[in-house]
Amino acid sequence: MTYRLLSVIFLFYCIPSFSQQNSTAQVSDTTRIDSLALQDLKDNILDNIPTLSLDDNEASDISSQNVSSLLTAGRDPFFNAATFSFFPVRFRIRGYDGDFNATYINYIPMDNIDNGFTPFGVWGGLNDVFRNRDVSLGLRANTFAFGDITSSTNIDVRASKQRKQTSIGYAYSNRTYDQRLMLSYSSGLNAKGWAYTVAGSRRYANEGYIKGTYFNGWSWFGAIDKKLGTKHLLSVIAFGAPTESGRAGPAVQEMMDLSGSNYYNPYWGYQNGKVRNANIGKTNQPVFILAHEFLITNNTKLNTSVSYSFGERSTSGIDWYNAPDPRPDYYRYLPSYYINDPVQQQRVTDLLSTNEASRQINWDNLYNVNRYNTASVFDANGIKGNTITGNRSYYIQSERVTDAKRLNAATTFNSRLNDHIDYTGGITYQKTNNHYFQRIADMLGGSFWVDLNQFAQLTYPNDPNALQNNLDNPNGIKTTGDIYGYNYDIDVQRIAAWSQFQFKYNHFDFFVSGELSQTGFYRTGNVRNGLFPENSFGKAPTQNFTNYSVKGGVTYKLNGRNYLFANAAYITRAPYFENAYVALRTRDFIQDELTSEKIQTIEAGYILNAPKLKIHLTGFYTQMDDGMNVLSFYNDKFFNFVNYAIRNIDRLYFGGEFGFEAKVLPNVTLTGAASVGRYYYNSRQYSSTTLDNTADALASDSIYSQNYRVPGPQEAYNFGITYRSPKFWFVSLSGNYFDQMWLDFNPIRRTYDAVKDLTKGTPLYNEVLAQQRLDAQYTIDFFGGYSWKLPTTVGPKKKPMFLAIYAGINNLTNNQDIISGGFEQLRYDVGTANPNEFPAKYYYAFGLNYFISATLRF
Amino acid sequence: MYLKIFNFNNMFSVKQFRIGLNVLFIISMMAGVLSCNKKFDEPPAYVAPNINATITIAELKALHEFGSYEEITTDDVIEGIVVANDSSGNFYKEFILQDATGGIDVKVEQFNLYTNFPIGRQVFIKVKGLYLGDYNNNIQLGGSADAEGSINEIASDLVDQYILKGSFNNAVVPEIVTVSSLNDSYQNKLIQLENFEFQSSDLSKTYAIAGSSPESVNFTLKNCDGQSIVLRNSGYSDFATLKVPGGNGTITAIYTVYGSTKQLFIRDTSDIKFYGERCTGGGGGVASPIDISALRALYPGTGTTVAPDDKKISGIVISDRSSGNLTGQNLVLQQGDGLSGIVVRFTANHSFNIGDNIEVNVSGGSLGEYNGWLQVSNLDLSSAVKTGTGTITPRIATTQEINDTFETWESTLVQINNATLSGGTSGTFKSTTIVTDAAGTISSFTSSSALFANTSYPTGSITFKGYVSQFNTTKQVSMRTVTDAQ
Repeated sequence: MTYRLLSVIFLFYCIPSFSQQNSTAQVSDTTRIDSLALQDLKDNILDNIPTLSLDDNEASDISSQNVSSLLTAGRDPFFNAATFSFFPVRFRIRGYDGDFNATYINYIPMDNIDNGFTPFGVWGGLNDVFRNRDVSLGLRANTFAFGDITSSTNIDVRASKQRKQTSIGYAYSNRTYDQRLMLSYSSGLNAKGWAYTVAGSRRYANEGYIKGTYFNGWSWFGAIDKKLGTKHLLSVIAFGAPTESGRAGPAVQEMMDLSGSNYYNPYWGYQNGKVRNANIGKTNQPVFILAHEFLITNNTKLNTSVSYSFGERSTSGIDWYNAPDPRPDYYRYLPSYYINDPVQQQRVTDLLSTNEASRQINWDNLYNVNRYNTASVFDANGIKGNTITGNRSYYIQSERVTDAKRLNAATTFNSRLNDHIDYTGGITYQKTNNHYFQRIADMLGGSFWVDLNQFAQLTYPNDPNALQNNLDNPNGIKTTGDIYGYNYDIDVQRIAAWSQFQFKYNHFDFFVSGELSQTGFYRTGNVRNGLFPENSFGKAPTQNFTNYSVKGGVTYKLNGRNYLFANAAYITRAPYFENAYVALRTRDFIQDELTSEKIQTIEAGYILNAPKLKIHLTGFYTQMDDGMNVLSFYNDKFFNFVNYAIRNIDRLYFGGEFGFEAKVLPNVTLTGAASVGRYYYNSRQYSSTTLDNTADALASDSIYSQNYRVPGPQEAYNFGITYRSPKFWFVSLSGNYFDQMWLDFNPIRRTYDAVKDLTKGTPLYNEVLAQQRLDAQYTIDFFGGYSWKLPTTVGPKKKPMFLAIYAGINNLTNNQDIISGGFEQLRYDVGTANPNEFPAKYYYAFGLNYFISATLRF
Repeated sequence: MYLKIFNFNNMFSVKQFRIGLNVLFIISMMAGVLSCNKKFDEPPAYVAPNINATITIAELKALHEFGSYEEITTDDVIEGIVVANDSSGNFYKEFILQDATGGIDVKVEQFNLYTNFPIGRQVFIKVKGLYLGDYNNNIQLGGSADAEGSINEIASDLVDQYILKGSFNNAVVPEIVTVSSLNDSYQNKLIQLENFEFQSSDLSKTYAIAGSSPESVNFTLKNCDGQSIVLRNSGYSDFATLKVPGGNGTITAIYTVYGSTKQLFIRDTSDIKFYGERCTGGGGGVASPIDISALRALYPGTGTTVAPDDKKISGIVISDRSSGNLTGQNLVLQQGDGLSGIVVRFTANHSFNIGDNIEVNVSGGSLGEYNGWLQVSNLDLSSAVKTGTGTITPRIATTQEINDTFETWESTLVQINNATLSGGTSGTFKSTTIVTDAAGTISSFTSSSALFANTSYPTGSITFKGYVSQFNTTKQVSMRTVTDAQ
């Protein structure tokens, strides 16, 4: 097996392992502790960021990706800039999607197998005890997993690996939350072989940076270790972060301009004179881990871990039934809709620009509509003759819930076979059950809600079954806490085995590794939908995929400081289920030609690792083939959700990365980083269009997507200077510049139908097809800190006590014009062919923002 | 060694524990310090605006010059009651407001206006800044006018600036008129015409043309004196696919004009009560009688079948719509003493009372069992007409006889003498009570929405009456009111 892999792979690698965050840093090394402090601060700041939904589909939880940060890593100047300094524009390393990062906790894969993203929020607020990480960048070898192609991180949270100390921290900020209290205590390993850690934090904001948002989070952590003899370490770990937050939504520029702020948030409104947010995210998914480390010999160890996690995450919003659209930024309410009515266009402009409440949700009116009507529902709950009469809720606050149960296990074997060969291998098992449903959170003054599909009713006025969300309980009467609407389960299971050999010689190091995996998933409908009675209820066939991945690399060591390296990988990857089913909410139809994605990637570079100068220069070239995606949005012209199932998505990424750190004076360090790449879609994609509420496929289209840009910044630059005083303080100033930022494009505008009525070459034709490039942007960040050894000591052993005060001020110039994300609305009217009828929606990065923390450690 | 793992006394030193406990304590204390749960008060009950009309709707309309348009510049307020809205889809982005002097068409750029402007709601409009115009002589109030003088709907976000919503459920009474008396002062008022019918050539048509390209349809309605008026129905209305009724009767509608044409718009099909005989005789002109027993015999035993065309059944209503033990769309009809009965199910709530003698044209209906109980369903209200009143004498039988002759006696009135009641819910009729006589038992189901559901049933020997009904395999006798058990 190994030799066969060797023959496939021609590039090898080995590199001095990345500076791992080490909790037992020497207090005397001021450079070290300052950079650790800076790292800590950056971690803390990244913990305090909003989650965004990156597409048009507010009605579905599954395709709105909550984008969280990468974990920052070590002192690598490039990676540091890429994960932190470039964050305001949601920079992605090499342009790859976030699902190409892998995160492990004590060897257990923590990524959601439903979409590949790491659920960072699950341990939000626990920075103190999630510090011990081993980060591997790009295609390098690591000692804990086959890994992913952007980065792979293993976090060790075991009690005995935590620094023995008590830590009390308070932080003040103006970001997503504005106050945080964080406590932790680690006992260290005592003579009897025990260690334990407890930690907790509270994060809170009555109102975050953006009006209408709030944050209310708790975090808890407990771990116990028991060392048995010299060979065994048993660990029990449990943690959770129950969090509730009022969210901010993307908006069209028109509303932002009317409100006078790029931070216009359509999700809130006044109720009884108080600000109320309709869009509330809640998460409570605790994780329990059992881990066993077995040192078989001095050179061989076996780590086995099992984790179980359960709980809900949900996002709420207003749902409504045959009533005026309650969203204040609905396009028919905006001045641009009155393009042919200048009198009222002016009046609406005047109103919206002067009256804040008119730009927001009118909660009081929703209550009044619900409270002052008399409606009858016949044959309620499917019981003939059962007539319910009362105040029908035409508006409700509804939660889109994912109730997940997740079992993960990993066993990992590390062995030094001889002076030249290291072997690492393992088996991982992941099983996830997600239950997706809608639930009523608030009746908003009415007494009942009827579980009907208003869109089907409009499409099929004469079919009494079509409008039933649940044929087995027709005309279901629902109230607070009841499940209604869609209701289905997805089960996903993945099992993988991997092996890696590392060879180390005087001038050459090389490695090869391979992984074989089996993935299966299926949908189980819990309700029989009136439109798809045969395809909505019960278990659908399992979709199985067998995948393999290989990678390898070589490093040439010119001497102890200069390294040349090259790595390559070939990976096949099963589609995520959310891209496999065309309309998960209503039925089990899958995309045509369901297939695995193929990824070929190589990287090569040069590393200089001298005491006063560190340089990192890498080039990469990546081709991904046969990607799949499903997009979905509500089109009020059809009164229907429209789904676009897209396949044959090929992507090309190439570019270079550069980072340096130079100690120019004894206390002054210069750092710099640059990422310059070009990321293209390089195939003609195919889309199949379906409506949620009709069985027919509407159209199959070619999408003329060749050479459109993969969204996001493709150039980013950072330059910084840090002064570290021998008196235990430091200041750092850095500047960032971003360019070649492209907005995600709507595939429907790049079809034959979209432009068939337009004359080629006219400005309108070009506008419909062009991809929007965002303006180049810059930010300036400041960091400073002071670590003070207090004149007092703790306890009979006279443990020293430290007070550390850190401050980070990001975006010093208060640049409020930085678009951090956005998308073209999917709706596009072929008839009018006007791309500005449904313009793009944006998020803007925060203006000047700060994070100040004070921590007492002893 | 392994046993020691669980010896917790030796795990940690007292000091280590104390620190850990302190940390835990402080973490839990933070709850008290920072906890702040977002709980929202419900807004207070709606308070109607304290405002008075300064002009009448007629005075407002008088400001308009036909063929032109005007921006209203005076600080005036009109007040009226909503008499029509978009709930059935026959009106679109508009509601009709009426006071004692007249009515006006108010155009608003919103869907589902019925949620904010239900029929019977009092509404004030501050008219300054709004525009008056006419669409082929039909006067409209809107937010602006285009270059051709067409009135645009009031922009959604501006509605609250102009329109103040008042009290609910005010009386809406149509004015009874004749065609010849209709003039512009009636424009956009709710009127009622009597003794009208569709032309016989239109009787096979639906109200409008629905589907992917809906079309409005104009009908000419006639009365027996030869007067006529146009009825216009939108293809977007939810009744577009229903067949027009064949009888003769009253029509309630909003009166409008289109040029010089007088034109009616109904709110929904309950505005057309054509239950009587046509001018030329006959309910739908063509239906002939069929016995209920013959209709029942057409049921094939499973599924549903189409009821025969041009047939009508007649009988006396033996169910009671007012007591709520049967859905408001349904009634139980028995042809006569000792004759058969059947459930008649309309597409909307009906207004027939127990004891009404009615005729039901079953054309277009469907015949099938619902949970085992045979019914003729999917009938428009206009297919039934009251012809008088009468009574049915219940058949006196034992529970044994009812159980044995069940399918034949279904939907007919029976009486069980010397019966006792048991079961129910805590001694009330709610849910299933058991009727016991010397011969055996039978169930009686009472819906929780029946007015007498929570009434305690009498103990001891009683006389029990009701119609024979069926719920799947359960044989039942259903009560109408409490007087059925005494």
